[in-house]
Amino acid sequence: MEPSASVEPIGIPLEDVRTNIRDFDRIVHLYWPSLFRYLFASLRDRDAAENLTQECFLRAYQNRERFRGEAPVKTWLMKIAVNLIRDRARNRRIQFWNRTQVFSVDAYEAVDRLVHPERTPEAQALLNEQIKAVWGITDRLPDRQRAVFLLRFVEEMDLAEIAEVLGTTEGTVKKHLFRAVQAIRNGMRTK
Amino acid sequence: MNEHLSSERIFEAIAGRRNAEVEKHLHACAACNEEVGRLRRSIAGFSQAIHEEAERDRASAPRQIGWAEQRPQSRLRPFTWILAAAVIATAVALPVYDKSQPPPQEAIGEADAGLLEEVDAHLSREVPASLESLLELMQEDKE
Repeated sequence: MEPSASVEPIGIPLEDVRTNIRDFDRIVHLYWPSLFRYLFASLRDRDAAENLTQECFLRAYQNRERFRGEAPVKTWLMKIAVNLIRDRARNRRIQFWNRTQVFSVDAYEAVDRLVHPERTPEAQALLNEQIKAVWGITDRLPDRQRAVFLLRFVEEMDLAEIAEVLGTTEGTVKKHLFRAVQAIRNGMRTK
Repeated sequence: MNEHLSSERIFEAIAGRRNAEVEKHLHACAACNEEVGRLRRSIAGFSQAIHEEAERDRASAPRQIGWAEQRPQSRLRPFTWILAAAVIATAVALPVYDKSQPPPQEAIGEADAGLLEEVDAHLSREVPASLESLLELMQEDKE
């Protein structure tokens, strides 16, 4: 099948993604939540996640002519998001602020807003503490492990998709995921 | 139950497809069941918190519609307005400040004298200021 004739599962012809700004607006509308989730989970800061989500779509729009349609649009956008996070992590000023930040208010609020009606208040509080612990441990994971963990458990991508996003093999993704889960296990034991 | 699940089996229980053999063990082993259950609940809760936050973000962000068309303008406008406001504020504030606070003659005299001393010191240097410490080290060596 010719790349220009292929159609995304969401129903947007790839040719339109590359050339039609109105369809790009649909792409933004459809994939904003996915990118925001990944970026918010990585950064724990709502404003920073929003800014980087916009930045991600801007980069995608500027480079839309280079989108060959070999991978789904979501994979292409996630690749951009992963690269943006990596570039941001290299910024020394941001490294300094990240070291000073134990846990962001935005992340705390997101967890505290969770409601588990089937649980007693005590059980809910305990679960929320465990969820915060998962987020805290995730934040201390090496970049690749964190990316794999978030793409698997937050975006529910399979190993092949994650491998495509990160430009690696499924075997490597599985190793990173195993180590990430082990880190979570070990961290949770001490809680 | 003699043996608990290995790390690999627990990993499969958390990140892989449900395995009948592992699930059977979890039903029979309270310790493994407790650990896997806690991990599943915590990770699922973590994902849920992020999903709910993204929904909140989507609901409170109508600006996203028409983003592509608005993006180039929205980047420029705030800076243009901030710059214009700063220019106007400076233009208004400067004459007012100038009239309300005439600089005292003594302060001007002291500043002029200080400046002259700095110029004298600069002219009498043997080497540029950046090399002075090197010169001091060389003199110490000679001594």
